[in-house]
Amino acid sequence: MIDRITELLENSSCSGWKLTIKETDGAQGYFILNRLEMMRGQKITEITLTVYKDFEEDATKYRGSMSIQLFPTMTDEEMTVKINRAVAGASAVKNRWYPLPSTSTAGTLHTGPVSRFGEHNVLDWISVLAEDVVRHKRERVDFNATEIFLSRNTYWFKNSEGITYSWDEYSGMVELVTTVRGAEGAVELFDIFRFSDYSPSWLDKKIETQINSALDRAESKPLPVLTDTPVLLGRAAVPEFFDYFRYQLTAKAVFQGVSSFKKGEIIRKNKDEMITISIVPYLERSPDNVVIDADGIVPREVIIVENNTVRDILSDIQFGTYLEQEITGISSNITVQPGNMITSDYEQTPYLEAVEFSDFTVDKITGDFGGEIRLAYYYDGKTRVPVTGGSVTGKIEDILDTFRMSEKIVTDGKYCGPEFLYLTGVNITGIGKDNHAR
Amino acid sequence: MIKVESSLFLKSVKGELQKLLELLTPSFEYASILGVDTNGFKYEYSAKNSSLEESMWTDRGFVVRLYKAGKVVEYSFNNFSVGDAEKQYNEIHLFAEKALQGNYRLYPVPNETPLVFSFSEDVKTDPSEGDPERIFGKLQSLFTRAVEEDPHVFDARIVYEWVKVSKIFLSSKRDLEQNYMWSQGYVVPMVRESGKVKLLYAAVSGFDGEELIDKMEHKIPQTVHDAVLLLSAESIVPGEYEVLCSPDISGLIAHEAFGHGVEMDMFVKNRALGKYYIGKQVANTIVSMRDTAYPVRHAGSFRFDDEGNLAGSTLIIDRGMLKGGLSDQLSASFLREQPTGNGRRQSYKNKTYARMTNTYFESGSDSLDEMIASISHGYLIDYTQSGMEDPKNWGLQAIAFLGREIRNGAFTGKIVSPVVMTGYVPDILKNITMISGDVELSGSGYCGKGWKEFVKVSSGGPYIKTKMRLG
Repeated sequence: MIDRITELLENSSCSGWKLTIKETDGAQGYFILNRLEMMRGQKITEITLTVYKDFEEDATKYRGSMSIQLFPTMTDEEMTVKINRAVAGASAVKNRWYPLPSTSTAGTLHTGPVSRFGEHNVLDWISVLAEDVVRHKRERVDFNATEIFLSRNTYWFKNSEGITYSWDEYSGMVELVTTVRGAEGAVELFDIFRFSDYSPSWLDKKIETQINSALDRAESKPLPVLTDTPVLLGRAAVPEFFDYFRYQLTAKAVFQGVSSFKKGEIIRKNKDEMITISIVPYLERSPDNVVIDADGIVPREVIIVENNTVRDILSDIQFGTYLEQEITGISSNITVQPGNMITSDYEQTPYLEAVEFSDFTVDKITGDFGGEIRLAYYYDGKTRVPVTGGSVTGKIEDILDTFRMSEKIVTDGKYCGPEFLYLTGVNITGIGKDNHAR
Repeated sequence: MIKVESSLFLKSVKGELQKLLELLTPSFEYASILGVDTNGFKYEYSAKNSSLEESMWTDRGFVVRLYKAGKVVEYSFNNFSVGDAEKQYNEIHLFAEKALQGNYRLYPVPNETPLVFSFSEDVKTDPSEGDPERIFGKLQSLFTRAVEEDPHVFDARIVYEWVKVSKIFLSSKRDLEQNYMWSQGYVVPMVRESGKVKLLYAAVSGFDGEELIDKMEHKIPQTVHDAVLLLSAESIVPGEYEVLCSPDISGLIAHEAFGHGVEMDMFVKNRALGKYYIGKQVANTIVSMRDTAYPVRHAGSFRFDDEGNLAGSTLIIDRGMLKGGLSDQLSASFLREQPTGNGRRQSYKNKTYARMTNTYFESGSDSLDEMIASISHGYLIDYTQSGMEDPKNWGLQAIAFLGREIRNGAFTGKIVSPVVMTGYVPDILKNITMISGDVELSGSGYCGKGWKEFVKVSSGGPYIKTKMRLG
């Protein structure tokens, strides 16, 4: 297929191209309680082609591009029509010229260790993973809906400048809905665990955490009205918080003017606890590991913030060229150096520890963040009780100098860094009866 | 008006798919095939960078559904041409034999009535053969209009996307075909003052072709004006307030607060409180709510769903009373109901779930002026940012970009942003005390089930007045 498409491209009028082919052999199990609702199989070939077209206007060089999908069932004639259409489309896209990665700039391919999923057929793994989930079932706890996906993906990448790569990877997911029957009815918590390698101990920990949280949610009280109460932010909200910095320090965000950060800028005044953030292509079991980026560049580790100072910009080839930055390639795993906060630092005074949200989001441009609380723990200085409902909201710029980070670090998914953040000056909207408009 | 054309690809392989169906039928109690050929382009113009790419909805392939002894399996594939029926049969059969060995819930075979159906929607201007330079020219004009509207505007993203959908559904009793097109456009002014950056978006969408671009211009003045207001926005003092929801936010509430909670696959999984409230009062008696794939013509419309059931209109809330939900084939079978035609897939690669289409509150009789005048202290909330469902516990989380303060029946000029809306859904619906006359639908985004399984929908309604916690 690659040779066939390459030949068609060589006969087209494009100035350059990149081609990615992904073959998926997948299996999916959908469970309601402990029985299958459905099993699904997939055998799919996806072909993504980007063509580039160079042109000049008023002595300025431009490079347009257009990305299209091709399909394995297309005839040469159909592909040619679509490629020509894309070249015409690229001619209408007027972007400043930038180079394509070549064999001299692409880098050496690094893949992680061989995945244990290679030991069996993907369909066989569904029942193995299902057993890993079901064995956690206990009194009062049901798994109302569980979805288990696993696919083996084989990739080929080639571009017009001579880069060729191929690699395999596994992509897995368990979507788990845990329901707990409590005295006042049933409550549920829902999460998606994504992974690229098999680790029953890791999955056990994720499931046990969810079960324990659901048990606590079943006993939870409405979030009281709280003022000037610090928030301990934990679990999925923490990598989402740091992802704001990753986005803001991409060459694209800087070039488009939606980032105000500059290289060498000190972004945090707190010298007692400095932040250092790196973006890395590989983390153990991360579902977001990147072998090459979308342009065919092998990404390197990039320290975007070091000791409170912007050190480097995450640069893809187009926007990195525009900013005259070194091209780093793009990956998205985040590592953050630990802070120095330990339990005894914060347990002297009341706090709200928010661990499960409906969907904690950070606006990557404005830094506004917030989410509805599904489970938190309120510590009033003496006792720690589970609470639910209400919300936490704030702005990153308002807390940048004051937020604290735990000494303890976790590695989970695409993130390795402080287990929690300690935030002061954020809004907590409780749902107690005194919480009326003022 | 011109008809959206059939897919030549689907036409070319239909005979081979029927052969595959004939091969599968003796081994299984039921077999169906959905064929999909969807394509589209997305244009984006801004000051510093433009792009043209195939739409994320582009999709070409097939999914087979099989029943054996009440067990259901599916197989998705896309490397299938004339002459491949037998090879494909062997691949599917091998998978099914192994997959069917598990411990399954059992479902009755769909009770299909014989139906042959073919329909193509009309559009005014088909953009699929359109000149990219001409379309970029139109977007550039809109861009210029946006940046000239106010000196705070330093850039603007202007986006236009069209998607043409062709689907065929084949079973022993059904031979269905539909072809339609939807488009969407965004105007996203980016404003800056003293280093502070804000952006806002206005969207248009519908069962349109290139003519949709012409509907984008009138959105520019208000959107730029409101984006500039965000620069001086304050944080809201958290609390419970009287709230006026714009049609956009009404739709967000209809969709997130209640729509997801009546997707009946959630009833089967015991994940929605709604199953216990059918026939009961869940909203004020002035509130009615519908989901309509047909005859409404908007971004969530179609004529048959991804399981070959005809689309229709479902009255979800009738004058405050919960009447019924939205079902796919399996949830309807389990609950012994007729499917409502809401079985939808993100792609031929994905499973079908019960999903919304065009979901909206029905109109009332109050004027917007009367509604504003009735508020002693509250906010008019506008511009959807995001939302997340919680049908098990009927909690609402929704975020809007902008709130305009109202005191003593008049706007004060104070703007708050962002606005996080939370609350217990029946409380929010029972607190709806006023509803305006005109229903507006917006279908610019997409809807996920949890954090995945995206389908195109629209939602909306009139202005509604209720009480909510804002943060």
